[in-house]
Amino acid sequence: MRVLGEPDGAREVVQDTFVRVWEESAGFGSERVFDVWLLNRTRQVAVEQLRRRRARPQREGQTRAEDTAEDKGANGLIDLQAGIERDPRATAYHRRIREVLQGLSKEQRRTIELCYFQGYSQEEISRLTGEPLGTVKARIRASLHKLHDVARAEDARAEDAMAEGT
Amino acid sequence: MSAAHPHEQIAPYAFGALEQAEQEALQAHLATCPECAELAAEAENLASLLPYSVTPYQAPTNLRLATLQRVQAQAARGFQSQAGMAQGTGTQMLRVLEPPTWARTDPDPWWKDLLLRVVPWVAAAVGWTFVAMLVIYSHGQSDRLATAGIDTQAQIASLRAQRDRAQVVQGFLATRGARVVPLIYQAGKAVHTTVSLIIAPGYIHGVVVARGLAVLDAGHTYGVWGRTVSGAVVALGSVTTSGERAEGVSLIVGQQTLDSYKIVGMSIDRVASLRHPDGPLIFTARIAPVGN
Repeated sequence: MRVLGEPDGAREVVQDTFVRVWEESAGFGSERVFDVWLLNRTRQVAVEQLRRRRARPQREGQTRAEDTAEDKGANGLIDLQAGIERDPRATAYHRRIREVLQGLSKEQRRTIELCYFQGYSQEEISRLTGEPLGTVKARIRASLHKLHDVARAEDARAEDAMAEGT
Repeated sequence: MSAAHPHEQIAPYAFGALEQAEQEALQAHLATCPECAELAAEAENLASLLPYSVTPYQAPTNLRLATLQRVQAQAARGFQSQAGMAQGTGTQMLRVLEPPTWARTDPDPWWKDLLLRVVPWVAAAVGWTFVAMLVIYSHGQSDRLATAGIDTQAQIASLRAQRDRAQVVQGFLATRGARVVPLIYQAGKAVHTTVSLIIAPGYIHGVVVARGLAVLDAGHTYGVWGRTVSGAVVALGSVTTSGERAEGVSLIVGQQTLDSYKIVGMSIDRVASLRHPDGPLIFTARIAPVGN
């Protein structure tokens, strides 16, 4: 839903993903984390469909892919102001992840949005935003490091909470 | 960082920001470099937090079923190209796909297999012994009632009904060649679940013995059905999961003998709807005539 923005496409992605999981399941090693593998596969299928959609209007001369990207991507940051705290479907885990992402700068969130949720490569992001490629690359690396630090801190906090509870 | 270990590529790889060629080159490297593969796995773990930042979306109620049907359709296509035909005593099983690597478990110890084979029989034998004792008791009780002059029609009818049911079971037990028909899991190999139908040729009653984890939610009723040689679908009974387990012995009441059926199986639809074979099936077995 987050990638495609509409339910019919998301439903199709779910079905395609599970068919692909069935077909490729032999390639899944037991040493890997299944939900991470499944999430990556789902994102991959969704992004592939998004790219196909982008290519279609470009061929028909209706909309330039860059316009679509600017509409959906550059302005469509990971929406931390969407009021997930008030959303009854959001779990404590969702809220915690959002807190983690609050630790990223606005520019970092925009870059992550464009590559992870909109399927753009580093080079494409550079072209879209007009920023040097080196800046985009550095921002992506910094985002991962930031996620790593915040996730570590979260883990430590959770361990402390568990220790206090016992 | 070095060209030998392209660490700078790990972060964009995890976020899906590499060009196709770059991604393929890195994946080839990861396949041969445990150090980079570990970094990439950690980066992917971190990146997989991102989907959880999105407000959860309630999936349509029929999505699970529709997805299951598509995967099963895909699996069915795979049967024709990948699978071998397994042969059982008196039972020709349906073709089954090899389970995916991650679903495979280490080979079970010999005693576990023996236990799985023996437990259904022991459970059935205990049940039948109980009913046989009931018959003996009911015979004596009937005589005692008659001699005591307690001969109300209701009591006699009740005792006779008990005796008749027990005689059916006694006859079933006395029949040599009761068949254990393992039902095959359609979505691969159900490593944690076994379902068997035990029925004697010439009898219309039998039992379904289920052991292991429930494939569906607790309290869900699986329909057990048989398809006759003429193609008619006949409801035989049902198995209801209890908790997260599918364990239990359920009585199957057919309208015809086992040999009259071409296929027996369990589907996730309730028997009342009789949607099979249109509905998704879970366990199934093809019945071959005795002697084949």
